[in-house]
Amino acid sequence: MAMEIAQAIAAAKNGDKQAFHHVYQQFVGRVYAICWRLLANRQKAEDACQDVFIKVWQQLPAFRGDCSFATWLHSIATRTAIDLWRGEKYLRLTDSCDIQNELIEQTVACSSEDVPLEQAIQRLPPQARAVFVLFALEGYQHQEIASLLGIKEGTSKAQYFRARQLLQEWLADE
Amino acid sequence: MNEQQLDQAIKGLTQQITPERNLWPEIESRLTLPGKAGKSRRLIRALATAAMLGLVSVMGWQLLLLPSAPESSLANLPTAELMLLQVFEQQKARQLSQMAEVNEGFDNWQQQLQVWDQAIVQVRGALQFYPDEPQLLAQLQRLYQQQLSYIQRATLHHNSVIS
Repeated sequence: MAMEIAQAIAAAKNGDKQAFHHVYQQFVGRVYAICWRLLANRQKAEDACQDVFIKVWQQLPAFRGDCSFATWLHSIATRTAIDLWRGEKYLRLTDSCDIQNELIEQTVACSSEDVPLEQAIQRLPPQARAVFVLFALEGYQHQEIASLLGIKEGTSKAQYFRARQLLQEWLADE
Repeated sequence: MNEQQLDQAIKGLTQQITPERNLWPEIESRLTLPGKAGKSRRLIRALATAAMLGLVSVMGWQLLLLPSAPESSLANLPTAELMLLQVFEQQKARQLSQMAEVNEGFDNWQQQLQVWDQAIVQVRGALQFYPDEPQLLAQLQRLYQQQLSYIQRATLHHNSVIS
């Protein structure tokens, strides 16, 4: 399987769309999970996921294999989702109506996931959610998260603590 | 739920979530051959940069004229409107001058800026009838802020490029 993917990546580098489709099928679940958990909205996660694969296709010829393809793809997915998350943060500050709409959309998106923790993560405040997803699920360190989200390291730690407290509280109620 | 139970639940989460719909057809329609895409992107960016420099030079020229032309219509503007105009136009010119390249998906940035410019002209037109009207001034400020925010998003930052 690893050999097959390596061949597909090499062929996609040379512009083979069929091979790139194979790469997409292999990694779409992982990419979508990052986008969905960070953005907490199905439509936005789908858009982000598509953007990730477009970027991967465009930047693939420059990929030299210094790190594994999965690591490289993971980094593009995280940064793309965070860029959108930042945009969302701006919109939240400017239009309170969006917050209501977003909450409704979130509930719809959550109904597709039956895992209580998954639903609780979606309910977290945006910054706490982003920090929690990056630290607990994606394995980033607080220093890296601070740099990615443009916050202080202490803020990242505080938000993680807050996220854990909220999750424990909500899941205990169920 | 205690700390350990939460950690257990986190470990139990899946690494992959399948999207509810097939995203591939839209992705495929947006794929262009790398070499071809690279060339056209470079061309679009070169044209956008040239247009941007032209716009900046025109705006800079207008700003230079602004303080030395008391007889112009700007001198008759109410204070609040003039302040907004000067602050935001200067900021806009500065942001545009720092714009190295245009981000992907922002190829029509000039048309977008024109839409805001037209809206700004309309609000300023209304301000001629109701000088210093707080709601209109707030609207003018919001339009400028949106325009500046758009320019910021359209700018290609080095830290957003992944290699």
